[in-house]
Amino acid sequence: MKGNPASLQRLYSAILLLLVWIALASVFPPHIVPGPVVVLENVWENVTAQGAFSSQGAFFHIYKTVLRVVLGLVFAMIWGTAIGVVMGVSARGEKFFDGWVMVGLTIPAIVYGMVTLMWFGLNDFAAVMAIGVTAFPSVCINIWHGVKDIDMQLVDMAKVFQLQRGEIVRKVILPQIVPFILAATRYALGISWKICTTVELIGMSSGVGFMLNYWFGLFSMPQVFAWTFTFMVVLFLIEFGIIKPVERHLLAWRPAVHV
Amino acid sequence: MSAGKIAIRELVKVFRSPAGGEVRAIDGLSFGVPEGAFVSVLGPSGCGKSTLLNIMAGLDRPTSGEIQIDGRAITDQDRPRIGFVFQQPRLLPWRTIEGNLWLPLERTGNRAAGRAVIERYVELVGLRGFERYYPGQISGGMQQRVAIARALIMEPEILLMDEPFSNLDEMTARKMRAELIRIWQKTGKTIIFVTHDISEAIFLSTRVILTTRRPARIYRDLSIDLPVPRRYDDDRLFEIEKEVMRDFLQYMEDTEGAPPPEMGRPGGAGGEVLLGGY
Ligand SMILES: Nc1ncnc2c1ncn2[C@@H]1O[C@H](COP(=O)(O)OP(=O)(O)OP(=O)(O)O)[C@@H](O)[C@H]1O
Ligand SMILES: [Mg+2]
Repeated sequence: MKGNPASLQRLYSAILLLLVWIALASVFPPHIVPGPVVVLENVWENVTAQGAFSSQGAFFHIYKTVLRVVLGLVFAMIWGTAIGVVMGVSARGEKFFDGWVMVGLTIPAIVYGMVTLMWFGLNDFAAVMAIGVTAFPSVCINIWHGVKDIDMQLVDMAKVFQLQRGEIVRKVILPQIVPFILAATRYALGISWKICTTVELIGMSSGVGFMLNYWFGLFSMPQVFAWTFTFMVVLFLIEFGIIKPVERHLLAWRPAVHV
Repeated sequence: MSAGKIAIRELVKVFRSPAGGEVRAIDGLSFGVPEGAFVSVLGPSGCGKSTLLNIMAGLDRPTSGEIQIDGRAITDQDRPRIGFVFQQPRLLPWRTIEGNLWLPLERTGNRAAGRAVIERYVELVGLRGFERYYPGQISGGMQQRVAIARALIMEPEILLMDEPFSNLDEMTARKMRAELIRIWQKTGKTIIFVTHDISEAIFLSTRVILTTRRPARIYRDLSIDLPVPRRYDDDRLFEIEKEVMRDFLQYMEDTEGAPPPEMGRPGGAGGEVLLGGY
């Protein structure tokens, strides 16, 4: 798979998006659709301001959001994987948990946010729990399917070739679940950002969601755009800086999908 | 009183079918295999041949009866070194060809020796140059050859092969058969070789066991007392083949459409009414 055509495609689509944005911004006034220049100016101001790294500075808010998301994600991955594995290997476990998972999936995320904030107070722990509980069911479902999907014929093969239990888990079972773990991580990450900003908006005094709410209160459209943009940059960094490379490394054996 | 390398006694295997009924795959199969024999098992599709190999490899338990290897029952702890070429290649898709061949060798731990052995077997199955390919990047026949190399590479005492050459073109298959015979003659392995192909069975083996339709019992057990390696154009082979083929096709024809015993329930008048057209 040559990188060229794909990244070219990406460049085209980014340019198109930018053009649409510029076009809209030239039609509407800045308090409705601020243009790229205005937004970037605001971002620049935020991140270069005196005390950008201090508490209440831009980087502090970004750091807070990232921290909450990561901790919540870790919580969801650990529990989701544990319960998902139980559901995958045992029919009893499956019957026991699948109702919970379905209910967990249908309850609106905001409810988890409200409940944890009311239970634990307006603190980071509550935010992390809200994120963890929200992301848990989708992690669980992915891992559950991954475990059910394990090719037992390969496990039999490994038994014949006299691999020990531990070796079978490491060399035959785990590699089969890795794609599901990656999918679960990416999906859970998407959910986590959204619920994190929501919780920050309703109950926190720091984080990107808090800043969005702050500028919303002041009716500053350029700053709302600026923070959204900042947020997207962080997401891109995580996607292309961490998830994609890890994925490429772990799934190198997969034939490239051409759609 | 050695019963030979492998002794199969009154083997019965009954599966639970998805519908909840029972499928009798093997019904009281008994035979012994002396050390160093090359036995082909030949039978209609779905009669229980793969099931037999699975039980031999310790992957499945018989419903009753037993299989002994070297006079001992197969247990989880202590099983003889068995090489198994499955009906499907069963390669690890995330490992290269080389990586797949490492799988049975990794526990021995000797990298340098392992590398040399792998190189030899890659050469043997004609896959030189494909060592770094993933299974998804090579053809089905090539995958099957990797699986054959993997089974041979661990120097098994017993080699179980489930239609290993059925995916190969005739030229490649002939080459692989010649190699198999060469390895067998050199190492004296005991080989159980499942196939659909009567001429292949007769060409390769010292003994051919033909099984009935499911549930598998022995239909015919014949020794092929011809020197090895054999030639494809040997008239004696051809004579045996003709006779066996005629006989077996007749058997297949006679039993065509006959329901397997477990489907005709005792006293189940329902089926007969329909057939009799009362
Ligand atoms: N795990 C299982 N559960 C239920 N039935 C099974 C199972 N494995 C095999 N069977 C049944 O047992 C019978 C024998 O299967 P087996 O795979 O041994 O046949 P085979 O002789 O190898 O056939 P083929 O030549 O087509 O490979 C089949 O009717 C199959 O449906
Ligand atoms: Mg079979």
